[in-house]
Amino acid sequence: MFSFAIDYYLTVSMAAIGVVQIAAAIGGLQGLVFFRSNILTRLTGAILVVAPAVWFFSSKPRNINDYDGGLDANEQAIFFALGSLTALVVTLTISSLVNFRMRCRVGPKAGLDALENTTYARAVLVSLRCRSKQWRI
Amino acid sequence: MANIDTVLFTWINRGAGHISVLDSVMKWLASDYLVPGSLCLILLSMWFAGINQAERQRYQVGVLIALGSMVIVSGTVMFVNSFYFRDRPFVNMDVLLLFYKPTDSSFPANSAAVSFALAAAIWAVNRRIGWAMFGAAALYGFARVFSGVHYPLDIIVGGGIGMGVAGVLHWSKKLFEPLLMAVIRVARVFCLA
Repeated sequence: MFSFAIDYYLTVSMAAIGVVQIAAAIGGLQGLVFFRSNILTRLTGAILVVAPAVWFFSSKPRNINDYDGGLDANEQAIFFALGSLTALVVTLTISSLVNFRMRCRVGPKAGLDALENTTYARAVLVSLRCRSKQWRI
Repeated sequence: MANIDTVLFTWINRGAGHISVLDSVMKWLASDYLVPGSLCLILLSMWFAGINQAERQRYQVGVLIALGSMVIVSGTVMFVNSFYFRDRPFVNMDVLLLFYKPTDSSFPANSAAVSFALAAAIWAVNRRIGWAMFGAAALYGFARVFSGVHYPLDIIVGGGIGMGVAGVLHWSKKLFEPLLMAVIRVARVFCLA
């Protein structure tokens, strides 16, 4: 089960990075993408979705019962959630690093919308600073 | 009804074992990982995909309803299974099996219930993506019958439960909108919604 779970977790993590890249490109969230080129971002996203899935299904037999080493529904849900969380952390970290020189234009926009103009690291710092000021008042 | 179901199952399952490429495609489609994983990845992408704040928020409400539907649907199927158990087709019939032998109840199909619930919840906020998800859910259901692990009625009833639960949650979302908006507001503080 352990090796199967690791394979599934890695596949989900990679594919989730890919779908977040595609969605960020569609939504115009420049602070969340790894490349400035929209086409390159979408292409990278598509490769990150398809390649791990092909590897997952072609490397070993995957239609196996949970008591023969597969995953039951609960384990599948847990490893999917962990994989998605990992993908999110990796995406936010890498995009904040590669877009470090992005001009900081955090305006009235908040939440994900702020990522249209700035990196996640800057946006979350500004958001939390605003929150703490509101609490103090 | 059970007779029609058996006849329909036999007719669909008869297609297995003739064309190896078709069998391989069906094994992939019937897998526990491909379609459910893809549908969940679509949910993840929907969270980020809107082109403005209003659209993004509508999609995020749809994603939260889809997750809620998934939990309720799984609970409903478990509840039905606690007092009704239907054997898998391969237990009582001569079946060409392309899949491992599941030991849980065949009726209603949890796989169909969950995938149709996700599709219906997203269809309510984006028709195009919703239809694509319905297509994937229908193919998944068909592949499960083709592979010999479900009767058609299991898929139809499972899909009906899934769509019903997602529909009820969507039409009554005003009741628990404060909770959904609270989740989105907390995520917005961390720039995640």
